[in-house]
Amino acid sequence: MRRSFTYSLLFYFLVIMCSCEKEYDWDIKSNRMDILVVDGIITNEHIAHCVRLSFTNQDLNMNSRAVSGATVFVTADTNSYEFVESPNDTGCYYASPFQAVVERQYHLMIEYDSQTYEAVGEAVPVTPLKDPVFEGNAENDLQRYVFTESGQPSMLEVYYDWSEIPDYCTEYGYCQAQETFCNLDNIDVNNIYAPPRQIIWFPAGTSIIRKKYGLSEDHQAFLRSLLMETEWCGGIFDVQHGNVPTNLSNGAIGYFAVCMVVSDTLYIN
Amino acid sequence: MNMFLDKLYHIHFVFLACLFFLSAEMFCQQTNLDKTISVSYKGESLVKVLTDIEKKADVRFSYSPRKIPENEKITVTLDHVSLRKALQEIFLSLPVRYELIDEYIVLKKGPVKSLEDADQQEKKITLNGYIKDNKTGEVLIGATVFIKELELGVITNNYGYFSITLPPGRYTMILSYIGYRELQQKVDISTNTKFDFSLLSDPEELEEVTISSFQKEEVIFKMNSSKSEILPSFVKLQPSLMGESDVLKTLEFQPGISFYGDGSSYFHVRGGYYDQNLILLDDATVYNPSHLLGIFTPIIPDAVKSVDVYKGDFPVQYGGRLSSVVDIRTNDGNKNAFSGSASIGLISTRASFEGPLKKEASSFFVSFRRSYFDLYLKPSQENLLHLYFYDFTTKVNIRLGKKDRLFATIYRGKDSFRTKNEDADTTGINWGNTTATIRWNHIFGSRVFMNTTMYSSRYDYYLHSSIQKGEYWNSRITNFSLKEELTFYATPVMKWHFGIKLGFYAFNPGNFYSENQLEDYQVSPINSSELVFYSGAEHEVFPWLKLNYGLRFTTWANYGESFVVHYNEDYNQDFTEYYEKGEKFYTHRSIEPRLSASFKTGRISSIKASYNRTNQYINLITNSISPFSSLEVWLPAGPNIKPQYADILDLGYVQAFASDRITLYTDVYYKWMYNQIGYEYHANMLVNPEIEGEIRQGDGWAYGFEIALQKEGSNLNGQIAYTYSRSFLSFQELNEGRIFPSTQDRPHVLNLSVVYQARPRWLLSANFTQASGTAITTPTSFYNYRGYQVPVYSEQNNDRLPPYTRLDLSTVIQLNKKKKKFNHSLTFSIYNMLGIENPIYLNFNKTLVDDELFVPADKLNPPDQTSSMRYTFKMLPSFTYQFKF
Repeated sequence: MRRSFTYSLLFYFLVIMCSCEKEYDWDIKSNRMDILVVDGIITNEHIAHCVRLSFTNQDLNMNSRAVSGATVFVTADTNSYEFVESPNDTGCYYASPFQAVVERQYHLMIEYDSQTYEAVGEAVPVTPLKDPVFEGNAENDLQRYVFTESGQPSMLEVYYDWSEIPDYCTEYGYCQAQETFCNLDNIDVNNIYAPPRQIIWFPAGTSIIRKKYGLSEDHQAFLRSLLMETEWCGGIFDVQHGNVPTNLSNGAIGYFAVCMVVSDTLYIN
Repeated sequence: MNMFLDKLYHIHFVFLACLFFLSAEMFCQQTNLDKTISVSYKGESLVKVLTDIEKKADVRFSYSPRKIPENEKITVTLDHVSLRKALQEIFLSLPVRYELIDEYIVLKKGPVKSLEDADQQEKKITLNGYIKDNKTGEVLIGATVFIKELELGVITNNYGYFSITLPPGRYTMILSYIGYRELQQKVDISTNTKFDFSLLSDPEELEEVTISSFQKEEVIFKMNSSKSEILPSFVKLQPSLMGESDVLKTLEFQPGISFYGDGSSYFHVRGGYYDQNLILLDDATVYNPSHLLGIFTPIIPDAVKSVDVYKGDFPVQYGGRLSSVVDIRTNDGNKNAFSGSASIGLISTRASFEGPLKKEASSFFVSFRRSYFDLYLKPSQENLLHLYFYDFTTKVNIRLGKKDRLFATIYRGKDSFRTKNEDADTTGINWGNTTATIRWNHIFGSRVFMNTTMYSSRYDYYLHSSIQKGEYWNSRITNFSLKEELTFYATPVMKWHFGIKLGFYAFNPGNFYSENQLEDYQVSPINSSELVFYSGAEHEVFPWLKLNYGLRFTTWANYGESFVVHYNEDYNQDFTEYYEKGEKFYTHRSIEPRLSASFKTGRISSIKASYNRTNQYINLITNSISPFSSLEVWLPAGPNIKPQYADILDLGYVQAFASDRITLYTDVYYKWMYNQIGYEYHANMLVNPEIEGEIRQGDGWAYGFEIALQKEGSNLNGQIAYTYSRSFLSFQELNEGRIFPSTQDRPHVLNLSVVYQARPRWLLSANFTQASGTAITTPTSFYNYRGYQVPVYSEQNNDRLPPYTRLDLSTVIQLNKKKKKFNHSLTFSIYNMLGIENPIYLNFNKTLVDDELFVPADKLNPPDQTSSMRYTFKMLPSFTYQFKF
């Protein structure tokens, strides 16, 4: 039902017919406050998981100001994992490789500038990936990934690597790209009438890694709000703006999640 | 059914009892004149005589020294006579008459009386009837009936009816109505008499305003403060978007009313939310007055006879919304001859036809409009099946006898959009309003006007995800009401209104259907009833003071079949209760006092003051900040939603100048609004069984100042208006409990509207508006999260869109040299002549690719984002061809 619901996107042309959007200079009325931002997902992959700490920016398009010198721990039952800041990637804190499991609470604790910030995350199972669907562009022989996941709420990150096709690296500007898709339970008007999103076209010879994250109820609520303030925003049926919720304590923002993931790698001929 | 009739019988009984007691009270008042007194005066001045009588009879006289000959010498000796007889003797041969009003004997200028006249002074007769348009037989609402000798006036009601009680005698009646020639009629009346009068409309096709000084005086003194009247004939002359004359959009130029933005049918009145406006079409509610997302509205001027807009000082007959009532009355139809009109524009054609069913007795009216812009779009949109809107209005008006009239109105408006999708299935959207009204007017005697109205409204919204599979989302509100109103013309200076309304509502707050069936409600439906009693008076206490006072009693109840989710203090689901069909689960009662006073400060000036309480039991549930109409859901007050209510104070001053052709209106108001609706941030509004858990309630307040200068003349008509208006909200759970300006907070609004008859066949009109931008929430910082730039907000509505400016021009050229049976004209309009891009949104999440704005997709190499704005109409010229026959 939800999928077919999105077909009504075509209604969008009604407004395109009678409205226009253009660039517009606007001075952000910055509050000049530095708020700690946490971006961390621990998964069931046996890898060195990362928790990234930064400060809020006062304007658009500013590079993240990394938070250096924090103490970061994740504990689960009797296990404790220390996250150490990478000397090559300031603000990014890595743990020794470990694997998260379902139905276990992971407790994040960050100490920075005499303040303690905490969050709790718990993973839910994830369903297998669906067979990939691609759509071709007859004009230039490029393809795009078509998101078809349904059922249990999930987030899908799709990584593209066309470094074997140098011409396309030049044309695109980069040899890798990544896009994120979400399959959420809710039906939202501003999602149905969301503004058009850029399409990432890729050439034959691209390798693709798909990583699907199972979403807990809280994580799903966070992502829904995040999308309402980012990708779904600026269509014709915007909703009242508000801050994206967080599971961090003590005024920090962002989200600490624990997810089960499934992934695969594809090669496009 | 029997139970319902039984209840109705009891209601009628209570109603008639009220009427009886009020009448009895009025009879009792007369007994003061039966007091016995003895007086003897020899050449005493009238003023001394009156002072002496005040002491002896313990009565009070009220009079204007300019209107009675207070130095006139009186010689009279009376022993043990009634006060009535004494006054007859004293005022014999003097141009003075009197009336007993409450405890006062009010002296007024009157005809010189013979002895027989004096004997008849106490006898009262009633003159009543209808005032109509001479050509069409259409009754005229708000026409003035003025008795020259008595300096008494009344105004016709919504059905063109008037009633005035007078002593028998010969009088000059002056009848006037805006746009019509004044009629002076000598009448000699000795018994209760019914007269129907017809007024001639001005001969010019492009109407000239005619206004009499009597009418102006009456209107200024008796009008409600905060009331505007929109003349449909003027609406047709106004510049309009794509040539679509639009009654509701014209409200934009009234002080205190501002539209959400270009392309929106949502309007805010004095800082109130847009669901706080009650739009009535012949008493039936129009829930969503929008076509094409709100770019147009369904009310076309051809179908409309009058539009009254109340922004405060609500008459006791109206209730149910906090901020305004827009009372639209449709045309009755021409009782004398068949006539019609049509208009062909760029995007639609409309036509109307009217005529007598029985000459001078009964008539019909029918109008239809249909858009055809899908014809332009189909060549470029191969998947488009159709995209249109239409309006259909019809009314019949039947005279059942001298005292009975029957009206029936049906309105249907619909938008429909269908497109094929990639699976060759059909998807689409349609929404529509349907209203039906049956009214019966009956006159009891000559002083009681009864109006019985049965009406029904329905608003549907369908979002079809698959026509073939019968999959759709639907929200609906339906209501059926029965209303009984009595107007009792007690005395020339006092009119009572009594009314009962019984309404039934059915709410479907949005559910999914599959194979055209609903397996289970995802969101509970609710049935409600509303019982309203009201009583109020319009009382001209003194010639310089008019009071309107009244009370409305409302009982609202909700019934099953429903499930009600109860929430804990964190708004999480606590438990759910199920209620059987017909089982009552919520009741709320309210009393709404209404009080207003009009003080005459000069012949054509008056001060108005009013206090009103209003309640609102139905709410549009949306957290959208879009100016466009979409997926609307209505919910009633209930266990989780407290009824909204407001207290409104208003102080106004009205003054006419320059031969009454220029009128100044000023108003100051303060409005306290309680239980206002707000939403948890990013509330889940669609197909959410716990939708009521997303609602937060708080308080609001609005205040402002309005000033308008209106010019009525033969060649130049117009209005300039300035509004200062503020509106704030406070919710414990939102914005960290801090007060914030509401979306409808627009401090400054300046409007100018001009219609100029440049040549007999050439008319120019212009509208100009400049307003503060809408309050919006903009980010105060951003953070990066997995490639997303996420905004951070410090405060709700912390910012404001740029000021809104728009100039519209139009010209009407009459194509006939002389007025004939067939008349045609051409209208050219330019909407937003200055081509100003007035933003409706600001966004910060787009990136520019080949001069087009997109949401970025690449999270590994996120491109720079830019601030952007969306606007609707730049400069939009149009032309329309109209003809009448």
